[in-house]
Amino acid sequence: MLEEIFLNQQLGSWGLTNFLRQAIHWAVAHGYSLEVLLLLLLLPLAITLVALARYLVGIQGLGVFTPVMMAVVFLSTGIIPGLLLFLIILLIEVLVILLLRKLKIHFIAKMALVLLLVCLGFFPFLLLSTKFNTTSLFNSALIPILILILIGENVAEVQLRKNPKKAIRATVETLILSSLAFFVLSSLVLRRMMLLYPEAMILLVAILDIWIGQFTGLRMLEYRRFRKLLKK
Amino acid sequence: MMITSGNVLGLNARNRLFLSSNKKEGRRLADSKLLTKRLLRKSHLPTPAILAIFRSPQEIMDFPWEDLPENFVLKPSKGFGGQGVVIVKKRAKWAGEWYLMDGSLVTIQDLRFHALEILSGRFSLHNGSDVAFIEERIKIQKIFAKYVWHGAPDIRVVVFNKVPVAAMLRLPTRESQGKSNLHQGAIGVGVDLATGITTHGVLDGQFIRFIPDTKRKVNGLKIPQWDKILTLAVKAQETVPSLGYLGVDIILDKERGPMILELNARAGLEIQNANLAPLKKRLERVEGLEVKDTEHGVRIAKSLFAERFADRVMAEEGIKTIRIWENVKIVTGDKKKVEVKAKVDTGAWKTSIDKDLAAKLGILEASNVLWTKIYKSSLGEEKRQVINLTFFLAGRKIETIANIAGRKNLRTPLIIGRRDLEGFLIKPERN
Repeated sequence: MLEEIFLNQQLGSWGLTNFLRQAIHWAVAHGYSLEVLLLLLLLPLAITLVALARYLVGIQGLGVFTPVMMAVVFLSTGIIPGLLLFLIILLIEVLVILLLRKLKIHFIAKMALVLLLVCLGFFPFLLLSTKFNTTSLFNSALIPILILILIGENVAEVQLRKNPKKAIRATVETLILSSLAFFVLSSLVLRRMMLLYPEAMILLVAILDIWIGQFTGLRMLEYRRFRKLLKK
Repeated sequence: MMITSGNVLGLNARNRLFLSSNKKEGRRLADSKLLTKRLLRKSHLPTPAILAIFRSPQEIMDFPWEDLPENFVLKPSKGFGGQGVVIVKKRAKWAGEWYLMDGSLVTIQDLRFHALEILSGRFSLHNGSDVAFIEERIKIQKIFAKYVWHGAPDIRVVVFNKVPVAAMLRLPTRESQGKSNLHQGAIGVGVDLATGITTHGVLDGQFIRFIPDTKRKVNGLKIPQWDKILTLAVKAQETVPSLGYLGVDIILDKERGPMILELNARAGLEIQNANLAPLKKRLERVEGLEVKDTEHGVRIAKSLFAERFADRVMAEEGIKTIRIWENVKIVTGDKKKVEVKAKVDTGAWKTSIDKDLAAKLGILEASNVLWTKIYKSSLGEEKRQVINLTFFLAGRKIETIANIAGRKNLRTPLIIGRRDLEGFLIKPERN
């Protein structure tokens, strides 16, 4: 359907109102994939959403790029398998860390050791996977799995050790944010809008960013945190 | 949905409106405990002593750990939120072994290893490399002993424009392992700036009235040497003017009194819950005031942000009924009481007093003037001084601030505003 819209697009001469569409057409004509180009244009929107969640709602997660990175991973694995995969990886990592707790060696070396065991720990899952005929998932998504392992590593080793309560909260928040970002990146409606009106969309995102950036009101979760003060 | 943020300071407002007054060099200083300590020492402000500094693994290995005293604290210089801090409680049976706060044993090997971990940056703000150091442990004042599980409580004072705007006593708990950081599970207790008496408590975002597992109330504790604490907090900011919005952590040593533990360039917001007082209005109130010196800053804080204990007074004495015209006794400069006729005026917020009368009573001395403000009105510019005022209304002592005004041609030289009428009922008919 996107292809159809694309092929039927009538563009006049280059100008301020159609320069992005012109650029897309030029890129596609030179062999780039329309899918990838639209994804590229939707990324800022996904990150804006993360910013919105942080400054207006109060959901922080683990930084800005982790959720978007995870959303990109989910694009290739699908959201439910992706989330499951991440939870499995996290579980293995936490188990390994608990196992190595007593071992007193340098921090980075230990992280490498944890990673080693986690990668080994994947083999049982591969076995299980062949039983359920989902081998394709693991094959097609080897790089995404690697990314998930590294993100999980950060959660398990760095965050959990520093402050377990905060780490759990940040992880749950990251999962929420990455799901949101996933829906932005995979939404057909948004893709279509981006294809039809990319200039207006980008302008809108920029305005939204500036507005969020200047917001000094309370975040939604802060209304709860300071509810007793607000009642006064 | 987000209209009535009111006077509560949220993270957005803190970061954008107030942290902008913290310059880069100041932040760099506050983020390194060692740099902070060096500067404090240079400015002759008291801070706990450093017993050892480890910049390289070699220094950790070469250090004579056996010679360390009975108790001490091992800290990362760039740690935050109390992470990576090891508090050693006392020596164990054998040399080179100590007990931690929870009673577990720690050896030289363990401590060396922990110090190495600190150097590798495991606890530092951006996981960059770090420096470890050993600090002496402070002997706490007796009155705190019953309030903490183990460890030393400290007092966080937020200072803005050289005026303390809020204070909080931080009590370590079992969960926080003797540390006084709220994120680690310590209790935050609000403190009245005028008196140093504790008010409300928060633990993990929940309001508490008692210290958990005890019958000890969190409120009503009077922190000793309160004036010294506030003065020290203001002095800290005078030493680091590049931190306009500063959290100062002060610890009370049994013998040496208040000492600065560390400075904080991003003081948290939970202090609002602990005091049940929103910060934004206080900050705006203080912004731009011309503060002459340390003592002036403390004085402004005490008069502006004094907790109104009206509820308690009401509970003890009941609500008092007063009339529109009342005779009040003003405390003069030489601590005498002089009776003056006053009008109770619910249309005014602040109390005002006639200039000549104030001068006569000796309360217009420069040392009693808090600040001078210029008001613009239809009559042109008018300079108005604000002073400290203490008076007795219907037998109740009221310590407040008052505007100085020319009231020569008016019926009374004093009007009492709403600010000072809490706990009173006003009968509107003529006397």
